Amino acid sequence: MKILVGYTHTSGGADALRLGTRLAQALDAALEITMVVTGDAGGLRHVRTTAAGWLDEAKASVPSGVAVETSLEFADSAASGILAASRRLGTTLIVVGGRERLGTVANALLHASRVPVAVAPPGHADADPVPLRRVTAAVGLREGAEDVMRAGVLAASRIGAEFRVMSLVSLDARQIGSAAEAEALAAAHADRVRAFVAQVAPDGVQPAVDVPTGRRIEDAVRHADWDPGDLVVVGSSRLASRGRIFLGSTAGKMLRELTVPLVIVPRDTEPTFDDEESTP
Amino acid sequence: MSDATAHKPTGTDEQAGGISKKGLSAGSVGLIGAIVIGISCIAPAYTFTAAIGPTASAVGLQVPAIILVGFIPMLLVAFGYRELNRSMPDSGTSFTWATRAFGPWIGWLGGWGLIAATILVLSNLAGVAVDFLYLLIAQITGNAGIADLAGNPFINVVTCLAFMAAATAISYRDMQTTQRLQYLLVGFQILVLVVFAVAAFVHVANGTGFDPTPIALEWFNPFAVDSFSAVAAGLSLSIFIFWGWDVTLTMNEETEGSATTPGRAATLTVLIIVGLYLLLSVALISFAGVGTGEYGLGNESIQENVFFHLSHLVLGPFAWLVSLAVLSSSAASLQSTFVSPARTLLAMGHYGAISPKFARVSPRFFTPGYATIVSAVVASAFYAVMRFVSENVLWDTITALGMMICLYYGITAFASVWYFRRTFTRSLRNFVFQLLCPGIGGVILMVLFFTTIIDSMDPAYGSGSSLFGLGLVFVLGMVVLGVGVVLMIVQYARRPAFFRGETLAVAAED
Repeated sequence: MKILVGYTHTSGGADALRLGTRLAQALDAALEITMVVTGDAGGLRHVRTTAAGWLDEAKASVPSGVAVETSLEFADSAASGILAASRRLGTTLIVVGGRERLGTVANALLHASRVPVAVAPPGHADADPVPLRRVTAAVGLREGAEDVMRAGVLAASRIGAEFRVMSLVSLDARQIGSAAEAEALAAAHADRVRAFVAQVAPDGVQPAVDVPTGRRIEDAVRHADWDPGDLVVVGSSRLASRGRIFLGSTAGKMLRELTVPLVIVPRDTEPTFDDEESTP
Repeated sequence: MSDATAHKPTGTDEQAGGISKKGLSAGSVGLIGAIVIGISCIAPAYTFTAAIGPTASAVGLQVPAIILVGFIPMLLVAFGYRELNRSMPDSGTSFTWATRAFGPWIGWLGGWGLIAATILVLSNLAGVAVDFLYLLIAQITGNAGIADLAGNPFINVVTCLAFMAAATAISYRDMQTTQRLQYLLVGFQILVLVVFAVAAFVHVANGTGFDPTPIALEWFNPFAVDSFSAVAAGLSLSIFIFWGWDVTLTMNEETEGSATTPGRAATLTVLIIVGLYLLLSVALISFAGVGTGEYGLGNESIQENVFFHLSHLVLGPFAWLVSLAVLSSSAASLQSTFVSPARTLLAMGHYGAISPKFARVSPRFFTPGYATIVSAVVASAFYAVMRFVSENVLWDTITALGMMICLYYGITAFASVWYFRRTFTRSLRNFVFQLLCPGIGGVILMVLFFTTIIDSMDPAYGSGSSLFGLGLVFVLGMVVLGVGVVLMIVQYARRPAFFRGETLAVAAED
């Protein structure tokens, strides 16, 4: 398995590289660090040499034991360059930094990629590099939730991590006022999630189920229990065309609040994490 | 190619392996793109509206002849640029090539000539954009008072700085919209100019011209001009009206076609511009004549902006299109001109001729960020200060730029002659394009350089201001050159390696 890191010589790039390294270590995968050079000045020798120097620095910072290659890609936009490099190199996971309210690059990727995209939270490079030890599938009880569950289960087993299922509840969205009402709703929702999990989870998998509540989705995310070793898996919006990813509104709200990495998987695909592109 | 030895070994061999084949072309600007940037930089609409009147006053009906004569040194020099680019594609252009041919001192001065001229003209372009913005608003709203707002120094400077900031942001971010925006602005500009010319011809044919003048072959004959000094005056103007095509040479270094595309773009840009100017000058002269009547090209009160004054006669209700074309012309040029000083500063920083900070590349946008910002700050500060101190100084500095342009074009032309001294005997082609053309072009530019210096000593030159009995244009030209020499000596003290030829060695093609 190969993981592509969309790298820039910025703090966002460092965040992406750190997450890529953690994922590569956890999944026993190889890293492809790609820097996309955009704009007219990409034709200048000095710019290319500088970019190549940054890539060398990035490569040198990856701990030994992780296989790593670097490449420069030239494209009209960073996102299109990352997607082109991913196709060319046959990588099955793309990792980017999510600085600056997600950033235009991550945003574009999160609405177009055919392979899962992992987003590193801001400041990830400075966080404790604990091993990934829990995978959280964040699901709604709607169509597509099974895909996310399967992807989460697969990732957890590949990593050798714990697996849990999370379903966020916004009280405002359901016009819930009192605390008692909220508790009752959360309990009822948790029951539905458990029933759903029992129905669709692969044999022998009995994940923990967590139903955090909050006035808004953002509050629910903040109230949830997070661990530095967490990795969150979310599905694509139903707006996504088949086989592509499309960041839905709930996932987008999660992404803004999360302090742990998040992976978004394409719609209607069987996740493989293997070298061939996952097939619809 | 002896080029590899000229560069500091900062890169690694791995980079070449990492560049995908497809990627090689993706990071480059194509022929059309380079021509668009070249035309944008020249800003034909803005240049021509200001230059046609004074040229007509100097040479009468022979404006097309003078355009042709002025075009010759440009084309000759462009051939030299093309040869140098073919041998050493480098965004430092004049600086790098002159250093390779003549050593660090002349190379540094060549770079200074380009940087000083382009940075100072940035302030001029922004200033012109301000004037035309308020003129356009006045024209569209029918409220003539709005045009006077540009005369208020506070409003003027604030608007000017806003234009400058926008252009800087676009250059710094190298937005993907930049190229599309340039295509649009340049396309619109040329379209309006051609429509203007055609409409003028239609008026002449219908007998509704202001002073219909039958087109004659004599207009194209430079020997029909009364005096040599009139030809020389016309030539000086032509330096300005063609200046800017060399930006195309800074576009590509490491991409497919980088040895041929920029040079071809430069020559094609010059050819397209001369065609456009000839069409416009013939159209305007046949429509309005060169007399000093109300709308004659010789009337000094309309010469500042001929298109504007003639536009309602030629285009009627669509007259505002012309102001919009001139505005987009100066705005587009403001943006594309940024490319030149930023890339020369980048090269000078890279080779250690100035602070290595100038070689900094923005990690997000891959542009010479530091060099771009410094260029913008200097141009803005110059304009803001001078607009309050003295408008005469402001405009006379712009006039003095002609010297800088002659200097760096001339140095580059001679760099071609000297750098190819061992190869020009090998073929007739080499002889013509490496020696003969740039040699003659260089001599013409040097003659212009010195005659401009001598002429500008006259207090009546330019705005007519003087200092110590010498023309202000002369004094300012010498100040700009002198600042360059002082800065060069400071850099020599700080960064002797470049001046010992350790980073960019003198060489010759062989």
